Amino acid sequence: MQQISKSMDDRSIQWEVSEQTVRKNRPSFAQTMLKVLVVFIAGLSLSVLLSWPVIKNFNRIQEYALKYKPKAEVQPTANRIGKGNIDTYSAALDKDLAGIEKKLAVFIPKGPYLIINTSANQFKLMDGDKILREGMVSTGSYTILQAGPNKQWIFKTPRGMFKILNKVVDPVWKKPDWAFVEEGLPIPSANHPSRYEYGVLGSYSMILGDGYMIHGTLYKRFLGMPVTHGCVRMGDDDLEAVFKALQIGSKVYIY
Amino acid sequence: MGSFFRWFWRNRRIQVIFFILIISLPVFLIVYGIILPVKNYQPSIPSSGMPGLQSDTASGGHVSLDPGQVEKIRAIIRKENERAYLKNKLALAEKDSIYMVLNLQDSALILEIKGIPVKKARLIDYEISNRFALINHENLLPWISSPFLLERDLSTIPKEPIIVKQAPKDTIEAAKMNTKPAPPDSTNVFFTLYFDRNLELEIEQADPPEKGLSEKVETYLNLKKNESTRSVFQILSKPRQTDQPMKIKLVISEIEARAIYRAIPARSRLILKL
Repeated sequence: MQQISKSMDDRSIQWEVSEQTVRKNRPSFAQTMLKVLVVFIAGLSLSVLLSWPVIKNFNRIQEYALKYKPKAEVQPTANRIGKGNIDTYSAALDKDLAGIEKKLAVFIPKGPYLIINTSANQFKLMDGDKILREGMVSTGSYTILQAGPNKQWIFKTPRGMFKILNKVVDPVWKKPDWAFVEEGLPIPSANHPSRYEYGVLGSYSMILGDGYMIHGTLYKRFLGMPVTHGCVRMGDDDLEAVFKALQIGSKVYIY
Repeated sequence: MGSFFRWFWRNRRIQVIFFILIISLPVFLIVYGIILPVKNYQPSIPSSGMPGLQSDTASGGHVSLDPGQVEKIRAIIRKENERAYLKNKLALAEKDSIYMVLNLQDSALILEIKGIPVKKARLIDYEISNRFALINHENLLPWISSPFLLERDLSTIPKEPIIVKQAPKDTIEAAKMNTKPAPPDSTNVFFTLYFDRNLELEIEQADPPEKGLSEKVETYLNLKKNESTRSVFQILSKPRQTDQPMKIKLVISEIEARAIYRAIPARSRLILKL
């Protein structure tokens, strides 16, 4: 009996000791919450990381998914036209198309015309769809010359459709105000002799209006570059060919 | 750290929660952002502001077609598209400004002035949204039946490469000034044109960028990425597909891309031929 009670006492002591040990080693509520928080943050971070390729290629994935939808059908068009009207409707469309094409043909110039590309500084002399001649030009430099708070000039070649208003052989340049300002010279009166320069515009010029011209140049090494004050400069041979091909009223398309 | 992993390894519930957390966002994006919107997508273009073409009730109703008649209807669809295209050309030829024609049938992006093509850029490659194939002709035709108006653009190059020069005070100062022409702009050409009626045209040069990407190109690409990320959230908040832009991406040569971008005015128009 004494032995039994002694062993029971020993076991209860052991039990108490192990329970105390367990209580000591059990993590606190705060530690558990911290671990859960770490798991939560890690999970969300990985989730965002995994989602990143989806977000980055979202539109592409959507486009890909749309491939599996059925394509549009012709039925609604057939319902609109009606089965018995197909041939009549088609013939009416053909007539309509021919009419519109005829109206569009009016816009095609009769005779040669010129196309100027200000971005690449190139020209094409055209007749219908045929390229008669092409080469390099110089166009506006996109420079703004500032000569005071209320005085500035912008040197760019205008875009759009123009007509040759006049053709001149051996043109004389009447220098505008900016030509003097640019050289640091005082601006002379309107008809002062210093305004007139000979030989700088080459052998020919074609006037487009508003002070813009197509003319020759002394600075042939700058052909193909945007260096002018708005006019279009051409090499001698190209200028002669274009001058002879175009008439007063011929169209010049500049883009 | 070791105790954390031991705790994690032993705790099945925590492992399940962790796994669910990881897959939650990707699954949400795929289901709610892609599968559901695509499944519910009803092809139409309400942003056109135009009603679709109506069936002629006098001759219509639902008609059954044999293969020969289907071919004839397809030919009619092509002719109606051609008519819309030519009418648009006629309308713009009567105006004074430069406009664009995107002819996907002939793989060309054309600049025209008064009905005359002045620049024809061959499309080296292009991609159009798969939405186009899903929208029937009755809804698409009104959408392309008038020219699109350019509302805004985003580009790596300036429209006009302006240089500001101060006028010299005298001839001595003028003589000292630099008269050499500015070197040509070698920035890689990427631009996006945003038109009305939800059309977006993205153009990039075919030539690979030289010497890495410049700051301007990186800024452009970052802006596009931000736009794309914003659109993700827009899609999630409004799963209906019909408000999404109709995108077309073109690849053309650098010289042509530059010329076209510089030539088009701020409120340019575009004629689309699909």
